[in-house]
Amino acid sequence: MNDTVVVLGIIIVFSLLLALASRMGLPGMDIDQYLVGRRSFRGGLLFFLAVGEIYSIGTMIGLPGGIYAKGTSYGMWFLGYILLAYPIGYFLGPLIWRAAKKYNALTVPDVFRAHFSSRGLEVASALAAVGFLVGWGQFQFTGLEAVFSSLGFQLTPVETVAIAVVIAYVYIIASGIRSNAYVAVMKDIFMIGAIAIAGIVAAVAAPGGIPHIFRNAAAHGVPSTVTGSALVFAMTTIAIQSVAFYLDE
Amino acid sequence: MSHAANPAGQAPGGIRAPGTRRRQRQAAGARGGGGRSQVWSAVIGLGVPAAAIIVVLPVISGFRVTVGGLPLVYFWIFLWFPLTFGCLLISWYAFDRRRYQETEGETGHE
Repeated sequence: MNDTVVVLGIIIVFSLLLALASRMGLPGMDIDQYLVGRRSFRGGLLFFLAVGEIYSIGTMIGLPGGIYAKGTSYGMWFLGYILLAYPIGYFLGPLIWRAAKKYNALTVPDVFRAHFSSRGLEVASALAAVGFLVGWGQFQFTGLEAVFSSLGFQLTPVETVAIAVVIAYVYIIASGIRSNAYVAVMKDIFMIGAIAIAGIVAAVAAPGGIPHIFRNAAAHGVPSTVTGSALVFAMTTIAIQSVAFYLDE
Repeated sequence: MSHAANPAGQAPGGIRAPGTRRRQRQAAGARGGGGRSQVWSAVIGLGVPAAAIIVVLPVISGFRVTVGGLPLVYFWIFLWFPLTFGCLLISWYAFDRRRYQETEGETGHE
């Protein structure tokens, strides 16, 4: 527990320093710098922002937990939708990029307003974005609490939110999107490292390797096939979620 | 967010004009084979992976077969991660790269 506090403290302090460091050398802050980094991000940083978008607490807790609880049909759902989301993003992303450039947009609602010449649509899309973010944030905090409680921290939801608000506020006031991008790079390196290490350990170190994991699951009654209503659920969700994945960015 | 809405009846000329130019460029590109390369790019980069997941996966998901210890459902999806990557590589290098460099500049940045 004490070791955990030290490691967690070092990581959080380092991320805050990284956020503040992103401010250095900037000529000054205005709304353009704050929201889109004066459109000066190069490919590498944009890559981390776009990739980091998909790695959330859900990747670490929700998806493995879902497959553990519900079996093969959930594995099919999670893997299938993210697999198809990428080709869709490959074709959709450049269109969104061009529209944002064409209208000199700072936010997604800016694109809606300019493209459809509709102030109402701008407001509606802004409200929808904030509204759906509340539900998404709820899931993130639920996952975060599961992580913290397994590490031995007994935090109430209010305490978790309060700590997160303070940290996120420092990130954002440091230099807006730029500090978030810097912290995202750190977060993604940690996350990809954790996923790779956990995956490699499971595949290599587990007795009997990958086949044994699936044999074990089968011995506990997890079916290796997906049929009937579970199949309909998985396929329809894959179809909708893969299309929607890049639309919500 | 601070921009005022276009007053009713006023044509959003500043918005329409670039769109028109873009359509003219696309039409020119289509005459030079650009339209066909866009279709092929979509067929290989999106159509093939979508067929593997949306069409083939539900058919094979009922088979009680394991490949290398993996249930066929997992084997098929994991197989399509590198294959989808390969499809997108083909789309990019065979069809899209030249077109993007023409419209976005050499590096994709201004």
